[in-house]
Amino acid sequence: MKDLSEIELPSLSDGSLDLRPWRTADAAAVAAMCDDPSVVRYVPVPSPYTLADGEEWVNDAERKWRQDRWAQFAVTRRETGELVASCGVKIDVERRSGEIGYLVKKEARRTGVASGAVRLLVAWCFDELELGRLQIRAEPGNTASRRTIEARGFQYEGLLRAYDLIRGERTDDVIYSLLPDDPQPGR
Amino acid sequence: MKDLGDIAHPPVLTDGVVRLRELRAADKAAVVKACNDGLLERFCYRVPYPYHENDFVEFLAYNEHFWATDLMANWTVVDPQSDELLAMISLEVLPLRQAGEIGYWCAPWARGRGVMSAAVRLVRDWAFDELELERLELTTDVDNIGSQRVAQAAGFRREGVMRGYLTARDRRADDVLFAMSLGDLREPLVPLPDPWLEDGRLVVRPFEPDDIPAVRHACDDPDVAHWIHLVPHPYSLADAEQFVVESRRRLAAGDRARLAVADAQTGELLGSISLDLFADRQAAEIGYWVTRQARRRGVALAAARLLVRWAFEEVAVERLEILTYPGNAASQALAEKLGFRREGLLRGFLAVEPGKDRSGRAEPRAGGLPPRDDQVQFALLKGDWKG
Repeated sequence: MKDLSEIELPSLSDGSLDLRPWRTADAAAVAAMCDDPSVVRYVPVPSPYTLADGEEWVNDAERKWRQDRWAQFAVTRRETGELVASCGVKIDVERRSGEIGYLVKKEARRTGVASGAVRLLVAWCFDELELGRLQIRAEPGNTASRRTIEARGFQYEGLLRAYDLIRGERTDDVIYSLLPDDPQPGR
Repeated sequence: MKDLGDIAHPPVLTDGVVRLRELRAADKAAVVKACNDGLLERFCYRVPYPYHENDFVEFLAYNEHFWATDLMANWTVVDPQSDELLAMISLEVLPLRQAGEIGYWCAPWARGRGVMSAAVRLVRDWAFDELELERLELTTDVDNIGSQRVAQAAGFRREGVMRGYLTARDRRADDVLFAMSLGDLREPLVPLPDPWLEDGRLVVRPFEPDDIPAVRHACDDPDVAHWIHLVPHPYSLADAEQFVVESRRRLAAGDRARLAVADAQTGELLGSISLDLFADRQAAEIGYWVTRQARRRGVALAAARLLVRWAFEEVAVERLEILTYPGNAASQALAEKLGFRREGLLRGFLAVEPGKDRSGRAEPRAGGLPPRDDQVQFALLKGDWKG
């Protein structure tokens, strides 16, 4: 695996979607995207989600990468520059593995945003960071997310019962993984 | 903060358990005896070692200046009935920050019965309530586990490890910073309840420096190295020392309880069992090894039962996990006997350590990818656990 301390967060693009580091100016758009019950339901973000929460998120991203090896990206549409999603990967340095997480703005769902963002992240993690395993957890009932994960080639590994704690409630998670030598559709 | 000029001398403080009073010439013999102790040599950098009568005489002569000149309050901690000397404690006021730093040592004959934490609580309350300081700090060597328990028992929060904080007795020391703010709850903040678990046959307890030779003997075993992550082979005395030191530090920090499993009758070390805590989701992972001599006697199962009970009943864990290699049939059988359920196979979950081939797929994979090991994931939920 590469020495992560030498790696800056990059900008990644597939021509229609851009993944780039967060900027201070994104705070209001983050707050608008996250202050939504359909986001809160699956993601451990504050609720209600205020402008101050958005400011903390964008301003803390650099430290998260340097200190916690948690890479966070804004996902924007190339044509309009509009913020449509947030995605990231938390790296386990000892295991040389990473866990991907993402959320998509309500109005931008069902347009391939999550799939495109995951594809770009996977390529960066395997090709640049040389990780040996990627995993994604999702709640069992989050069928849209599970379809996206499966479509990217992630393989189902099991149901982790009462695995996580989101705002005081224990939640089940399904876990999926992708190894560098697994087939990845459309890659 | 109060005007310190209004306070001529630090007052006598007492809670009925300990009494904090001024230092007297008659304390000489007890102070000299207490200060020539190995733990003070190792951890109390400001106390001369070896400690001579003359050190006491000089200290006493300067005593009246400590408060007036240096804003340092010193007390002798004694038994309220017998006036026996138990410890010493100090508070240095840092007026620029409206803060104070507490320092102390405890005589060897007074340890292990709450003397020091009682004294810290008295000084803490005086500093906050009478001096009106805003923050108190306390630093202690990263390996001074007893002192860290004292700080936690007095409600101090562990803020972090200050690496290479000072040079003392010819070595560079890492210190833990504990602190408390005026508004903080003055309640004990012990991250993990004291682990001392017994079932009549086994004792599960913290590792002690005396365990180092037995740990070395147990881990210098190809089977242990084969199945336990990050155990090197051959296994040196230095590896064992590192294992014990790390176990004690992490137990004090509260994120991992890696404990010794010993025979309740003979005290013989039979193995180790650990609980790695994931506090953000109230979950923990169990790991263990058993010495060659103690295998096939149900030691791991009995120790794991004690640990499971402790985790659910005293550590407030809601979900326990065991991760094991697909080829480790013994560990999988143990997980099932404990009531754990197999949840899935985590593919390529671990980076293979050089020289360890556990799954038979440790050859480089296609495209020159480095080898990885699978892990079987087991879990037990508190709600499914039948005491």
